[in-house]
Amino acid sequence: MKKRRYRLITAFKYWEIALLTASFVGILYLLFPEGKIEYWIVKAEKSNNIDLTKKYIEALLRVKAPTQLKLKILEIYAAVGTDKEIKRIIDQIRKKNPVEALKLEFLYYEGKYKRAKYEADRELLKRKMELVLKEIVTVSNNPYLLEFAFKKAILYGFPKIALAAAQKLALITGRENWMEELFDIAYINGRYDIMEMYAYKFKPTKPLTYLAYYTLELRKRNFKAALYYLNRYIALKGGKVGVELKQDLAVLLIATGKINEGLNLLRRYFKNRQKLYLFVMKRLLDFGAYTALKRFIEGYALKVSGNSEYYSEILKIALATGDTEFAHRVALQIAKRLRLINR
Amino acid sequence: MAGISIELKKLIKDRSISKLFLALGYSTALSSGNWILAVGGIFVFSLLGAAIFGRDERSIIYQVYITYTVALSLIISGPLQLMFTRYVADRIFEKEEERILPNFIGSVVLAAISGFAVALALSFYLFKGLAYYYHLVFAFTVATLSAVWVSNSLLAGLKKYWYIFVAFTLSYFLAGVLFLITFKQPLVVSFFGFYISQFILFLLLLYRVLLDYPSYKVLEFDFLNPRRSYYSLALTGFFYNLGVWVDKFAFWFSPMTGDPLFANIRTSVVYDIPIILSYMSIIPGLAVFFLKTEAEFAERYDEYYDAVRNFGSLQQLYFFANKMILSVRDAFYDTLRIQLVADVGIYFFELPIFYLLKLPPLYIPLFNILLVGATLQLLFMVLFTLFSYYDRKKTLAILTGLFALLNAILSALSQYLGPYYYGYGYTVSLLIVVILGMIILSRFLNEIHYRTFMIKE
Repeated sequence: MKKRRYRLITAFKYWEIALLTASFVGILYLLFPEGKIEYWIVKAEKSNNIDLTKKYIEALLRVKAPTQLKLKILEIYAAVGTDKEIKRIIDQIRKKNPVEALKLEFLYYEGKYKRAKYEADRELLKRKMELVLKEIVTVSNNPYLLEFAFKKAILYGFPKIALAAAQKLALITGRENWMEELFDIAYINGRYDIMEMYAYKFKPTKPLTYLAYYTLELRKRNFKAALYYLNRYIALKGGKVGVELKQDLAVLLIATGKINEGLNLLRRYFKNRQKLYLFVMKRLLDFGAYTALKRFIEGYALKVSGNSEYYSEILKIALATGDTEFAHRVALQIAKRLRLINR
Repeated sequence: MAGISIELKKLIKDRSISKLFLALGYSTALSSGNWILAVGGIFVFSLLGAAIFGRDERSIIYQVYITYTVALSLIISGPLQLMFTRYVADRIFEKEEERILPNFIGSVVLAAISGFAVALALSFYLFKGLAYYYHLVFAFTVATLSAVWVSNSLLAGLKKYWYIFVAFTLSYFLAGVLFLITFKQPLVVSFFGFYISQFILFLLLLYRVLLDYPSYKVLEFDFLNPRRSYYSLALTGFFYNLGVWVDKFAFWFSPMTGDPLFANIRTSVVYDIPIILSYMSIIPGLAVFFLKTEAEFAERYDEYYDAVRNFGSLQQLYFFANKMILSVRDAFYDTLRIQLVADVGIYFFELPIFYLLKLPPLYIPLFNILLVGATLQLLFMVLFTLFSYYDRKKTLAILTGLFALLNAILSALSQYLGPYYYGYGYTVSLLIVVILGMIILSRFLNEIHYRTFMIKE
């Protein structure tokens, strides 16, 4: 007891100091504003202090910049800033992430494009958007950005850019879906050389791809394969395709030897046999199906009677096959039919 | 001193809630009344000006201009404030009261001259390109304010709180009225109006000193005599004021957070509002701190040193020392407790408060960090006061110096690290000095008898 009487109280025990320190450090840790600043920036759609928002965004861009935030800055600058300021911000972003800056530049132009009232302005902005997308595809190897460029190119009708983006994506990712996309875009652009490169390297999943394959096989005069793909295309479309394609299907049947089947399908579209036969002959000529054409002319077209105009057309088509002997033979048969010669 | 202490103690002893609140209100008015009046008055009159004459940048420029004059004058006069107050306390103890007035005039002259010189030199940068009268009005205002702070610290040291409170009320009301009157005039006229109000404030404070400490001598610089003054207190005063302002300067003059507002006078749209709000938020803690130190700790302190002076028994010395240590704990922890309660309340209601004040909620993340910082500053003030009571001059110089240094370095570092770290420079520097202060104070109190009887710092 006596000992206790002559003992001083410790004002702050070490564990108290440690606890106080830990508590304050813990509070400061919990208050760390990462995410909170971004939340208030994005949430404050119409901030009553635009300078404050700008200041924070610019500071954040130096250290970290989620895309959403970058977009916000462009929105803010688009509303209050000048093009010069926007360019400054984009240049600032470009220092850290040049390709991301291009994406933002595109989105900025896109926003302006959507708000533009005059056609001339829209055209100008569309041109700028095209240039930016082109640059993205040229400089970027990032699949996400290339996909972005691809989609925007499709949306705004820049097929060449879409093709370049898809080609890069197919190469970088090696994914079949991108090969298919590339194949389709190449088809839209009429780039058969690219189609040849990627054909049969992926399993087609889209109707357009079947159509593209049909076109490719038709160009190569693989009529059976072309028939297969056109058939699949029409089936995938539930039969809801244009008359021309339905007619082409019938012509392909004829080209592959199923003449009666093909003719039966075509009959509904033509009033008389002459017109039907003329159509078949012209399409077979277009397809380059010369063997089938010659067979059809001799076996069907010349078997029906027609006027001089009809025969004249047949003769022209026969000549167009490039086979002069065949054309001569056809001419003789026509002459006989028209009783111009007796033999 | 006794008057305030007795009044507060009477109110507390009644033990009724109404009396306790009255005591807290009294403490609030005395501890922070003048700066609440200054900040609040200028703010209200600026708003009034904007409401009456239409919104323009003028009100903001006026407020920022005042902030600069106050900051600069506090830093310049900082060395004199504590040193001179201590000199006066020693003269009163030695019954040399006739030396107070001439030395007061001397310190005021010194503060005003240094304030004028530094402010004029700085004005060439701050008001670059503006007419000479901007430089002159600024320099005269800083000089006058430097004199005001020396007078204020002398009167506060002598516990003339009510007089200071009334003088500040009158002068800042006058400043507001002059601001409204000169609203349509060129800015320099409004600046001159503020100068007039501060000159009147100085005259009011001077009048009180003249009244209380008459003397036949007019001017003396005895307070600069190294044998009769403590230069470590000058360092403490300088470091403390520098420490308090250095983070603001870092935010004003960093291109990342500050912007020029008027000539080269800069402001920080990011930092200024949250720091002002965080300072306003510690009013409850300030009131408790004032109450606890003035009404309770001061009494315990007197009991112990009375026992020392009157050759009390060892048992008495231990008894009063322990009572005093307990009151140290109470002053520290009660201040912290009440402030934390206020902080939690503010934290939960800050969003509606910000909406009510029409302030962007984007300020909230930084405000929360600065609120913790201001709470720590409050604790640092408690420790500062306690160390002052124990006459720990070297400790105070080291702690305030460390605070100024850390705040400068960490605030600059926070600028470099980016916006997530804003406010951490100020807060962490205070956390470090508070923890260090607690350790030093605890060790000192643990050896209180030894240090009282054996060591003189």
